[in-house]
Amino acid sequence: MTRSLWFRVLRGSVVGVVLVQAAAGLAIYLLMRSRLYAEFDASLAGKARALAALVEQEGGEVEVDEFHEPSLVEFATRNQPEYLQVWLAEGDVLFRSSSLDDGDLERVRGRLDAPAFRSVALPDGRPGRLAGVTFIPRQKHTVLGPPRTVTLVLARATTGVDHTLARLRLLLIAVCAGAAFVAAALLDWVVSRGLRPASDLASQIAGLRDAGLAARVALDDAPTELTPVVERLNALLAQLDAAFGRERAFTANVAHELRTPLTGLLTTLDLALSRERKPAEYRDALTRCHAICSQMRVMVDNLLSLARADAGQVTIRRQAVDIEQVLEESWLPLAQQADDRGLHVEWHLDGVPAIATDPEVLRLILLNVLSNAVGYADTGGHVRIASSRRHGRVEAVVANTGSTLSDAEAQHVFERFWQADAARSTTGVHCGLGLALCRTLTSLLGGTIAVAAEAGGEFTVALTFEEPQGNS
Amino acid sequence: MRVLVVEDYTPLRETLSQGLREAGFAVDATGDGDEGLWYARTNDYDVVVLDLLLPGTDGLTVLRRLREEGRQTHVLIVTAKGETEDKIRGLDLGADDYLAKPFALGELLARVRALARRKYGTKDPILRVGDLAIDTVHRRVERAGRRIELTPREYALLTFLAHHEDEVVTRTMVWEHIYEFASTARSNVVDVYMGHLRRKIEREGLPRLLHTRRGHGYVLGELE
Repeated sequence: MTRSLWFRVLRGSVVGVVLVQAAAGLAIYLLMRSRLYAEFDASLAGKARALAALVEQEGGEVEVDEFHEPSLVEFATRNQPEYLQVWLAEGDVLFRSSSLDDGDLERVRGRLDAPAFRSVALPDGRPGRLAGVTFIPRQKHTVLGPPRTVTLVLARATTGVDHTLARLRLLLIAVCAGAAFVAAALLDWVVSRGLRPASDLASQIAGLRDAGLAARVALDDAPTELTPVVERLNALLAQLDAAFGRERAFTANVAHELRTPLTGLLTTLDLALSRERKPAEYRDALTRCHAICSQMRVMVDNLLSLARADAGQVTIRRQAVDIEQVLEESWLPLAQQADDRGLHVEWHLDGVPAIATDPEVLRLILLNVLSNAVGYADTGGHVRIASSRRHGRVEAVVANTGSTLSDAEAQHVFERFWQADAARSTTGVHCGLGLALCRTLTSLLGGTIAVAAEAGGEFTVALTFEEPQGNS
Repeated sequence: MRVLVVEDYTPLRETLSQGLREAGFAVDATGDGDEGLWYARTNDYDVVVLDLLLPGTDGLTVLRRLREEGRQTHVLIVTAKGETEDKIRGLDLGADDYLAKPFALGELLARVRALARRKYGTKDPILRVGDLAIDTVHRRVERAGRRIELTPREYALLTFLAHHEDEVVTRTMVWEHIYEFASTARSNVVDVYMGHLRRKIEREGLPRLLHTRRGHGYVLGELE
């Protein structure tokens, strides 16, 4: 759950929305609070100025008689009173409202046009604000005394403001919470909808089986983020499909290629055993069986070499090798067959320098290539064997006339069991494995192998190897 | 009985040819589809043993061409493709039987014999002409309960005549069904073999079974 894309996107979005809402709520709250307190303070300051206007000086005395008027009942009541205290500059308390009992307010000094404010705890325990002004009272009558300085501090509970703010807090929290829920529900829908191609993709992938590799993933209206995924996946599926197909074809081909010589063996033995025969006839049958087994061995050897090369089990032991010498040695077992087929063999050896390679692996490659040339050349045709040195590379070329392949068809010869037409001469060597093996082995040696062909003309195999460094 | 073997794997082709010859068949063999088609068009084979994967024209095409041309030659397909679909395709194209590799020589011979019998409308592996009995499975010939030893060629000649009981068989017919394409035998060789055969099946005063029709040919049967 916590690892699902849906959850992550949803969690991120909801947290984001809640944070934005909380910030907005907090801003609204702080704005409202400062506004309410400013209004509260303005009203407190107004009253403090009004009260200050009631303080008079008569001669040398400061009078606060008006404060004892019953009209200022808010200072006398016991029920949620306001507080008022007046000091003379010397510090004597001139007036203390009855709501204060014998307690004192904090003596803060401000100007009439800019009173000083404090947030305090009121004597009755409620939170409140006080405003203090220091001023010179108005002189009464004409008998003027020295001006006296008076400080008046007025305190009032902020309960009303706090109450309003508390309700505002609650309201904001409720709105935020509600909005968060609505946003979560909305985002869930949006995210699920947005992620639908991804979950479609996931369920299609979950539905893939190796037997059904022909299946491809198809997303209607695939989002651009998923397009490369789908394309790559389909490409991989196609590659896998082809690989499995090759594997199946390979197994079928191996079975097929072994059945024909096996039938040859079986029937030859059946024939030999069908009645009493002369020793020479038995010898003839055994010779035939031996020849068939030798052909089967070539095929099995090729198959095993391929399998080993595929599994990386071929060890390459490099030494200085004269490729022309290996060509000549590999030709020896084929000379008789070439003669029987009336082939004209041309040698063009350039005296190329030695290359660093594994002589046994190279011999196996050349034997296959030469054997193909002898086997596929037209009767009475030509086989050309050449070596040359070009641009720091050593090249060996084996060509035969009578190619039945076009150049495009020839490019398939490295595929295992590939045959130009359905017909194949089952000789074990020419069963479509030889050149596949050659390519695998050549790449193990670090060389390249390439073919070129012209239908009715020459079929050419070229092997190229790097010359060793410092040998130029 | 004359058989054509079309198989591109040389060792198998040679063994099949020899096995069929030893079983009393005259055998032509080739490893090429085009050549096989030419052989089958040129001669009236009793059975064609046809591989499917061939250089040149492939086996199924050879078969289709033969059938399109209205040839009724019995065709036995042998191939390494053991897939059911290939069997169905082969039989649908007009093959008479199908044998998947690997097979034993005995099975192939039995199937070729069965197809050869079908050509002459008989299912009994023992051919009878009067008191002469030819066991085509064991290649044994008896007359009046007594075993007669024949060479392969004499046996082939006798079976061919027995398949045409009471009919005139011309030298050309004999030539076409007994002798292989590459054979260098001269025409009077048929008469020579007829003489050998007659001596073996009509000895010790047994009634005449092989009759000569001057200017026409030979008839095997109990006439009047």
